[in-house]
Amino acid sequence: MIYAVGVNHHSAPVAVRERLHLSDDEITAFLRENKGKLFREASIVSTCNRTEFYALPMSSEVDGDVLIQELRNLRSSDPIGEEHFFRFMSCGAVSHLFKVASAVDSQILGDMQILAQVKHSYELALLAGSIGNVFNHLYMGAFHTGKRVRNETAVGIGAVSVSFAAVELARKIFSDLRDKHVLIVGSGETAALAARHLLDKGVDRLSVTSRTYDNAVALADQNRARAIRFENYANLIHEFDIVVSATSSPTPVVTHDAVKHAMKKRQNRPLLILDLAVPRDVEPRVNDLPNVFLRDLDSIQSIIDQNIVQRRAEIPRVNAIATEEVVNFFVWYNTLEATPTIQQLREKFEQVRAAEVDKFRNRIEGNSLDAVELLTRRIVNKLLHPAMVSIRKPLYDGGEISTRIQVVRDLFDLEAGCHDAMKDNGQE
Amino acid sequence: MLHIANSIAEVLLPIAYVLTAYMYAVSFFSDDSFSRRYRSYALVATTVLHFFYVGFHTSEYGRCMVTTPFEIMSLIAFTLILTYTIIEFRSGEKGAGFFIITLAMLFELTSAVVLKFTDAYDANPVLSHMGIGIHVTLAVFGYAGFALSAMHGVMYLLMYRELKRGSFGSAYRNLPSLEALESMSVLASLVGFVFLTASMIVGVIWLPRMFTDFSWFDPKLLSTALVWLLYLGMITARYGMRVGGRRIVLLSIGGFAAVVLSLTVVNVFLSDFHRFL
Repeated sequence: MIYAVGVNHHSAPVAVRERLHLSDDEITAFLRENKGKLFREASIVSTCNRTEFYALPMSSEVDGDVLIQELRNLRSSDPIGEEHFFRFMSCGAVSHLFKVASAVDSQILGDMQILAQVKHSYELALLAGSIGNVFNHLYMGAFHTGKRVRNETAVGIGAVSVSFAAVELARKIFSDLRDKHVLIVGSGETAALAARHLLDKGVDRLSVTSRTYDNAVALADQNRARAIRFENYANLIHEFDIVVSATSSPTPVVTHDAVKHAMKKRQNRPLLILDLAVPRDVEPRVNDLPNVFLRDLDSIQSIIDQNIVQRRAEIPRVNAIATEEVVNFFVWYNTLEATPTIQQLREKFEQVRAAEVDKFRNRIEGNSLDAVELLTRRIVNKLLHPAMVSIRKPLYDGGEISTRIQVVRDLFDLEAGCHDAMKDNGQE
Repeated sequence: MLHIANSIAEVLLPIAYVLTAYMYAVSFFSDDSFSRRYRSYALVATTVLHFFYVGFHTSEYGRCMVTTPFEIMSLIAFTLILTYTIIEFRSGEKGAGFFIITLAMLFELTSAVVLKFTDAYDANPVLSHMGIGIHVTLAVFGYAGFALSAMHGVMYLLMYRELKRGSFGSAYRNLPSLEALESMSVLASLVGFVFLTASMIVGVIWLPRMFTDFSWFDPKLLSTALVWLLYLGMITARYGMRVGGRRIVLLSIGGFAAVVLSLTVVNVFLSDFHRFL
């Protein structure tokens, strides 16, 4: 049975999560050390929001509690309370991994970065030699789920942070940010974040102005930008395509007249002004000027709110895809255990059928014998079909497939020794 | 055989246009995953079907598809959908599809439903002439360019309005940037202008030879000259005076309104020799 245990943003606060965060070296060392002792196959996903241990134990004695204890032992000098750990098994564990890969379990809903992190955990487990047939299928299923969710749903569409929403807004006005000239007004934390984010998004030409010139120079130096004296910047607004204002000034620093004047010089080319300050830095009637797009924090927040609502609306579709893929996985996984029993059951039914046909062989005319053979085979196949399908179905109630198989074996009196031998072969 | 293929394509084509336009509309206004996933397939299928239809029709009647208004409208629809298909596959942008495919669908439906019941198959023999055929074909490409330009202009205005008001709806979510819409609108106008200019040059050479009642003061010629001047003004404003943004797309939409007037009111009610409806 597959287990998933660990800590994530649902089960533990950040202080706990950061204590259990594992480096790549720690993960591979742990997997190598315990392969063959604790588990047959295993992997660990460790990101800033989760450290999750997926394992196919060596024996039934190794359960969720044992696996949690092993994780806790990794930080024995600074023990982590058991109450912070979650545990899933069988369908629950597989379903959890598939939901993680589809970003529906992420703290920022739809943050598709997680799929790359899941891939990385697979690569680490491969490196450690803890990936076998079952986990290979498990991870392929997870990747397929993630890709389907990305392609078939809108759960990752739309910005959900102020900086991303601001860039998204800029991209709805300008097709390429690389050749745009950006002015940051202010030198505080928000201004610094905005500058860094715009540079990350490919903006090449950045200028900074601040009421304290030294602060503008400092921020400009950090971001390969040009510093402009505050008393001069109003005369230079026409040079910029995007103005981001984030000062702590109690009165507006970007006035209607200054922008109107700048627009004339710009020959009315579009100008985006992002006012990230509270109280606002830009006179609201600036937005009345043609081709000037003024957006303040409330406006940007409304984009984020809309995107979050849209992403949430996608959750049922994501869950449906994940469930579909979990079923696909378990149809394959259960086949491993069920194949010997299915074979035996078929053989038994065939023996009964052949024996019964044999009894009546003398009473059947030569031409009809083939028809009787065909008919009885078809009856047997039809009788067996529902049993063949349901024996492979996934179990959502935490039950074990082996229990179901045993019921079938008891009902039809199948030999036990043969089953165990074949099951072991199948799983290996 | 050819006749059967042509007849089948004639029936399937309007249905294909309606289905494709419907899928693009659903994708634009909602997040229907089926439409989002399969709309491009529907687009390609419709474009390919129209391509074969043009081939079947040309082979069956033994002339270019520019000899009846029914054919011309269908050819404009084909030009629009083909151009859009190329744009979509090159840029990956699908948001504009709803507008352009709807316009193409309107042309195709008008062609198929309204004009099918007239004597539209009876080609004007003058239009079967090579020189006039080239003149009309070039004009069709020109008008298709202007239609594309105007549609991008409409999209620009929708996007502009949402950005100004801060009401971020379907246009904001689906359409490309204002800058891209503006440049597409200007580029389509430029292409349309080049084709219209070429069409006018060919027309000036051939029309006086083909029509005994030819007049330089025919209202259709004058209105076409006016359309040409409007687009010349727009292109000069864009490249000579660096006028951009809302003003330039308004000029493009105004130009297309003049095209529609020229093709409908002037053509039907005022023109004399230069009328084939």
